[in-house]
Amino acid sequence: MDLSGLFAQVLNGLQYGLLLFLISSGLTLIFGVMGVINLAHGSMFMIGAYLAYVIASLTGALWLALPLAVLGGLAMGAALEAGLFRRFYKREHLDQVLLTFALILLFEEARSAMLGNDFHAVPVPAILDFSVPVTAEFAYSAYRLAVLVVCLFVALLMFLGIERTRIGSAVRAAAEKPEMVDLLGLDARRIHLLVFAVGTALAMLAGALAAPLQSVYPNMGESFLIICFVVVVVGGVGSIAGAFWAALLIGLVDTLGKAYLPEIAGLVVYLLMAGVLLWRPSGLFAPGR
Amino acid sequence: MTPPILEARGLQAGYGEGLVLRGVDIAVRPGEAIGLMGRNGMGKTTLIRTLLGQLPARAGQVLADGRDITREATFRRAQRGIAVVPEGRGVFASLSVMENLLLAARPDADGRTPWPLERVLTTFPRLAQRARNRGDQLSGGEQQMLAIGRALMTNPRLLILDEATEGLAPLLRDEIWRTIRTIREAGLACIVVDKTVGAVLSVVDRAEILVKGSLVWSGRPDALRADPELMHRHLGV
Ligand SMILES: Nc1ncnc2c1ncn2[C@@H]1O[C@H](COP(=O)(O)OP(=O)(O)OP(=O)(O)O)[C@@H](O)[C@H]1O
Ligand SMILES: [Mg+2]
Repeated sequence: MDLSGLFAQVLNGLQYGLLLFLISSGLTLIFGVMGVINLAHGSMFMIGAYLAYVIASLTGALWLALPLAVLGGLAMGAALEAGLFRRFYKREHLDQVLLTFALILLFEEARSAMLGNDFHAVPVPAILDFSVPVTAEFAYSAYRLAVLVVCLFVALLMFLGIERTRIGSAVRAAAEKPEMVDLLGLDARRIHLLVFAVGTALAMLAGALAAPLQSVYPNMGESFLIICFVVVVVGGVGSIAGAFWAALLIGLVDTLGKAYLPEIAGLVVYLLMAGVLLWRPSGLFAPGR
Repeated sequence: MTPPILEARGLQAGYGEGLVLRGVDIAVRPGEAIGLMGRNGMGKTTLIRTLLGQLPARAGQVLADGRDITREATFRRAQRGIAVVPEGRGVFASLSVMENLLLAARPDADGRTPWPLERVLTTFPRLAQRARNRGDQLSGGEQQMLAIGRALMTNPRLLILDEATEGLAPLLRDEIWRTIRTIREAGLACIVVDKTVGAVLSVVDRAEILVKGSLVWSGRPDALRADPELMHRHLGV
């Protein structure tokens, strides 16, 4: 086995895992705190990617898409939560599934009407369009490294926000015992709004970062959504730390599986999930209940 | 006379088809301590949950300071100065002791803080020692202290304690009862629910006995103590 190839695959796996973390962190908190299985979370990723495509083709400045994805995601998440989702927290899971599935159809239809159904490549920004020599005979894409660094930075911010601030402890508390949060006189609606807005922003940011790596195409959110549910389940619903480690694990396993065990690559991640669930049914890092 | 901090009038509530509370009238005035008594399953916890809006009232009213709050959200009722130590303690397992306390911190309606962090930690020195431990690393007694300390951090006017000594060793129970007495002396109104009848009667001004969702007796602790037949019939002691 050639070592620099393995090294590249490991970096790819980490970078993929970190992108998965950005999407999964919102998914796991929305599920953990509000109890909603948000199928439309993948659409947020798709919208972020198409935003990057549009910005890049209009202005040529892809980096502009990053702050726009974050701000737009915050606004979109807040609007969806206040306008729609908060009416569904007490409903049956089936109602929530129907709502969020309907949103997928709406978002995909809107994408199709505005931008068509073609695949579009999004060029890597010129300034990052080179390879970084890592060892004498091995170089790695600068853009992928940049994505890795941005994701790590966002993960660090998330970690500090969740673990070191009072708002963060309110979010963890709400994921664990929502009735007790009410009894303490905390307004859970604010926690829900924040969680939804930040979660949506992160998914859109992930989409914008991923666009140059894999081009943009119809229903691109859904393939990510499924793997992100695996991350959520493996990490433990409602746990940011869990989502982080599970995302890295699954990013690595999936990438290395595709590289070295292509015959069963599609299965590896799900075998891993089944194994974890047999061993720890509530995931690796389930918050205490 | 100032209206009660919290009052129920003809309150009915239940789960599913079943009715548990069958028209309860009860009122807690400022500074007053009430012992809510009754055997297992008589509806004490259900009454507390309905007073706080965790369970909807089927009929009747809940009032705070004379205002109808029957339809008000739980967190708004809590913000009126009502704090609860729920059955099962409700400690956040994934938060540290300090995070549990600080999450609850809030001045009272007049902006005063009679229970700042230092006072809570002096009242429960154990919590200061365990400040950085997570909720799920605490013993049952420590969790109970944390639940009470956290309730005090909201600087309440009324503290509701549901089975605060349940499952604790005798020494720890005594410590919890001492604390409840201290809290009483500070002038806080209380509703105390507990299986240890003698201890409840020694800290409250008035006992109310709940039988199958109705209050059947109300009076001073000494009147209840003087009536062994009543104690035996409704409380099993
Ligand atoms: N979540 C629930 N769903 C259905 N029935 C319930 C529920 N909680 C309590 N009950 C029923 O309501 C009745 C009153 O219960 P409640 O917990 O209020 O009693 P309690 O006086 O607090 O008893 P204990 O001393 O055991 O705490 C009981 O018959 C109980 O079985
Ligand atoms: Mg009870």
